[in-house]
Amino acid sequence: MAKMLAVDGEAHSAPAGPTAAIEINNISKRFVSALGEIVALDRVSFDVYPQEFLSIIGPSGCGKSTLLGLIAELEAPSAGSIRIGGMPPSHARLARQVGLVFQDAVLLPWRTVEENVALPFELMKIPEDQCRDQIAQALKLVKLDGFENRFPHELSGGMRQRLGIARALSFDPQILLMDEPFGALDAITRDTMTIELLNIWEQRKKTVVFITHSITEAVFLSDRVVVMTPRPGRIRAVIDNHLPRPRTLALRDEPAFTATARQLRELLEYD
Amino acid sequence: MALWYAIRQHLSTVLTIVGFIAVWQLLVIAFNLPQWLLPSPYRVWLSFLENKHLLGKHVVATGTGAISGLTIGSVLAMILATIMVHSRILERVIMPLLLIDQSIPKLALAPIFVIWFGTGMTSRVVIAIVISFFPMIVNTERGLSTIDFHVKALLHTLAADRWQILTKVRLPNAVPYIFAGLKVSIPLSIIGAVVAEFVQADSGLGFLILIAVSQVDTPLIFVAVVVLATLSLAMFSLVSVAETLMLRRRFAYLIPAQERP
Repeated sequence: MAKMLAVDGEAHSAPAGPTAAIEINNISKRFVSALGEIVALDRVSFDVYPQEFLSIIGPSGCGKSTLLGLIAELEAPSAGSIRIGGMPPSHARLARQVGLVFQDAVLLPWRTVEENVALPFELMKIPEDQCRDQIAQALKLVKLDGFENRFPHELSGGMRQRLGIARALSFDPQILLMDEPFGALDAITRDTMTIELLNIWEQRKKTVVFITHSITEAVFLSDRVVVMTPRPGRIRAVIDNHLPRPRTLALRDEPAFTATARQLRELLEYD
Repeated sequence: MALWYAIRQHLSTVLTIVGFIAVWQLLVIAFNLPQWLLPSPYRVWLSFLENKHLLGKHVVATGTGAISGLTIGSVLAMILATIMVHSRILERVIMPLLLIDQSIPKLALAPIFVIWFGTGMTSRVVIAIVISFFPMIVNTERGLSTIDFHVKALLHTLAADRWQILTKVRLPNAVPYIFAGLKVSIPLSIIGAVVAEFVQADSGLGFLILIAVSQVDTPLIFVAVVVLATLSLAMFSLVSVAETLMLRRRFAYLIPAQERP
């Protein structure tokens, strides 16, 4: 069912060529600290295909968040290059091709639910009457319709996180970058959110890069899983995950699921 | 629940003030203190009634000075804070100047301002500006700049420009900080106006205190002090009401749960 594509250190460029949604070519990222130079990412390469759900899993310190930051152009790589839809990240950003979701929902607390989703449109200077439908759709998609005039502090943790996702999807970017989006939620809410995220993804068909440290989450959600190891941050393996879709929570008890999960666990334990 | 909380809070304030006045009155009676040393609250009240026709113009003079100084100082502080947040270079120029300004005992500068600006309203306003400016710039600057790292990342991916970041995130974020700064600056602005009058003036509550001192009219000094405190309290309450109105809806998350409407 699952097949290991490549092992440690080497480049992992899949034969996707110009059709890749995101190309990551030989990326390194070094930080200089008081303790000396830290290599957060060491020659990392892989492609993300259009409309693919790709997870990046690894222990803390493996550079997975740094990698996401590089794709979102929050930082520049020390070496190597990134292309998003064939463009450099700065162009992709200005074309609003990237939606970002964080571990905390990162909402503006003085704005209502609706106003938080409206923020991207305001920044794009799109008049209110031209984005009203898109805002309503995004809120409906995450089941927050009826809460338009509430404030973030009046919502539960799961609802806030859904609001963050609605905002990231509202302006229809091609790529969704998610940095442990359910990491701060309780286990039950987390299960629900995972199912809802899959539903949303199947409806909107975005390219998703999903960072997690949960093996179950990675196997359940992804088409492929990138396994990373720390110090320096490297790719250990890229795992294909062909579990059938649509996926339900019951899938977790299937032998195929547990086999893939075990494979991931072994890759993460092996040090 | 919220109503009961409000009543309880105000009731305790009123009771504390009444209790304080009662103890003061009792002390004066018990120790038979002379009026020039410590007049009783009742004697202060009588002095107020005797002099109340005089008080109006002095209150207006000091109040106008303090309020103008506070307003001009606050606007100036907010403009400078905005500049500091946007330019590293100007921040490096302004910050040391602010520190120098803050380490100079400005009350000691008051005579110089009176020499420069005369004994009229200008000196009052200038000293009030100088003294009430610092808490405003510090608070505003903090409000404009304490933006969560993730919010900055979000704004970056959404390609927000500086003006959008200022108007949509920094300024709203600074609103509660600006109110906090105003509350600190109100009493300072009144101190500034009174100090100007202490140096040299022909009106104002500070001037009235000087006259009362020269006549050893201690009850009148107390009247002036109480009026000053009332002026400060009135300005404070006004700002508090404005704050409540502005923050009630959008900034309810800052209010402890039991006080929310």
